[in-house]
Amino acid sequence: MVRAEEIAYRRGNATLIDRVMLTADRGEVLSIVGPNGAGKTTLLRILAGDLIPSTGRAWVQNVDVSRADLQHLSQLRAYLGPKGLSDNPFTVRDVVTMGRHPHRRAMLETGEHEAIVESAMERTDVLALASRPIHSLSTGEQQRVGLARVIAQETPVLLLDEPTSALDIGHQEKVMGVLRSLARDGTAVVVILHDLNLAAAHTDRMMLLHEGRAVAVGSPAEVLNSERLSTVYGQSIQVTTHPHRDCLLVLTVEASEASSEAGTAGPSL
Amino acid sequence: MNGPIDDTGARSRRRATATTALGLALLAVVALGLLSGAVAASPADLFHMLGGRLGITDDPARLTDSVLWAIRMPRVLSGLVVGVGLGAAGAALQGTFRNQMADPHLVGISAAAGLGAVAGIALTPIGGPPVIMMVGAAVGAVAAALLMRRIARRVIESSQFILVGLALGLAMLAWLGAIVLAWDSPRVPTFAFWVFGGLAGSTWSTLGAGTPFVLAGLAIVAGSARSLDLLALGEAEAQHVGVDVDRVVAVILVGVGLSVGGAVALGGAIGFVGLIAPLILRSWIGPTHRWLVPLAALAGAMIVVAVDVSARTVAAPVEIPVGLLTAILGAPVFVWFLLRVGRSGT
Repeated sequence: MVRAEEIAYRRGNATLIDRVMLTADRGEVLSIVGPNGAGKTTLLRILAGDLIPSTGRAWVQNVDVSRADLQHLSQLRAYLGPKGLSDNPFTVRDVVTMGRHPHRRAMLETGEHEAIVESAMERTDVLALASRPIHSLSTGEQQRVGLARVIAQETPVLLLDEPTSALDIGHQEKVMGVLRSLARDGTAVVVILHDLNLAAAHTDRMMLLHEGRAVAVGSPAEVLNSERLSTVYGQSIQVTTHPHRDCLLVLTVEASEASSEAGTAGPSL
Repeated sequence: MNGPIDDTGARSRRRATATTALGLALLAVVALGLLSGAVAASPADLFHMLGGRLGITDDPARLTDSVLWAIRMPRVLSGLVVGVGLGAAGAALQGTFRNQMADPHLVGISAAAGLGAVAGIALTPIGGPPVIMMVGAAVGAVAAALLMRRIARRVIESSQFILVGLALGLAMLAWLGAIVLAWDSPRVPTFAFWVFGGLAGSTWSTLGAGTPFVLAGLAIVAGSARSLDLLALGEAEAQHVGVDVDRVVAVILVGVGLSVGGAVALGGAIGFVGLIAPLILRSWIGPTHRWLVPLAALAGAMIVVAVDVSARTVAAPVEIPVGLLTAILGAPVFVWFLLRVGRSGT
């Protein structure tokens, strides 16, 4: 599981993350949403151990991430960044196999690493691309390869920064389904999403970040509130129920003229 | 473009082919290098010399014995060692910086090695061993390689990185030229050597002093093959799968510096070998560094020995500096590569 207590991250005079508390238990998909510049990526990188918070601490599986050694940490959490792998000359299979690096000394049967790699590629629908070099793939295909790599890492915690940003609508659903099934198998998944509808439909809990602060945390029903979203995003937003699925649906209701007034109301939340 | 063929088997076949082809080509150019030159020598002369050296025959010495042993053997072997150093260092640099244009010569590591070598000569007592110069060259090259790492952290664009390296290299070369010309001592190789290289001064003594540096560098780089592969993911991503990136990169760059330092001390500044050997091998056998590093070293050796044979025979008795020929042949390959990269947009 993942736990963060009173995390703050300052750079110069700017407070990028302001006293954020967070937990994600095994079996749970937690989404982090919020407008550009809200601090989502900074928060995720603190959880990954990439950035040391100015105050507060983060734990993965009860290990303080700012003190754990890289090798140990690589067996506890996998991280998928928002950038692609564009210049990589290796094949899809090579790159997904690199996800096994933390477990290279594990006592596994011959072929077990290969089977794990194969299954990760299958889950993200890149098996047919296995022997293609990464630089020959589209951005969306590269994103799925990246996801296959972190799945192959087989860590109890998965930290994903916009894993669906370049995917078509079919693969978005498929990838969210994969995250849910990983959670069912006991993984704790923390995922940054821009698409509020994906978050509403597929995540157990949500955290809405705004200007470095967690303005709402809870189930999608608790977090997704028309007024709150309109204020945070500076855009008039309507939350309704999905006509066919048991989840909420987030819609924009008018063009962004209304935004300037709503945007200034941010701190009153 | 769907339905690709799994190339794992094809890759290992290509590795076998490449190893065999490069090995045979290296043997051929080494033999050619020993036999060609102002004093004609036949394969029989070569075996005679080797037989005498190894104490197999007691035939009376021939004139060719001393030419082959004292002049051509150290020269051809120096070319081989220089090529190994440049090929391995090029493959490692390209992997470390995820930049297929990285070359120890282009980014100024050769020029820094030259500066270090001249400093080493200045510190060597008259008649002292060549190893101090080798140490100087290695120190200069390691320092430049580590500096390029700092630069790589600040620039994002790969061509910007090369331009910065090129500018620093030109500045260091200018300093080197100024020092060499002002000092004007017979103990210092000419400026031409530091710009275009040359193997004419090779002796058993310099070969013996330089080879350990190149071999140590090769061992370090080859031993880091797995980390070089993982660095292709990106530094942050490599770190996330447990690679201690700062430490690993520093180790690799020390290996690069030792290789290039040894190579430059032996053969001067020879460009484009470290660029082209890995480039060709990567498209031939794939990017896996466990194979790419040793085979780029083998290809580098073959190229330098072959070019050195041409350098002393095409315009005989005039000898063309090796680096001039590698630039004449290598620069168009580099330009072709840049244009190809530009077109495919990778």
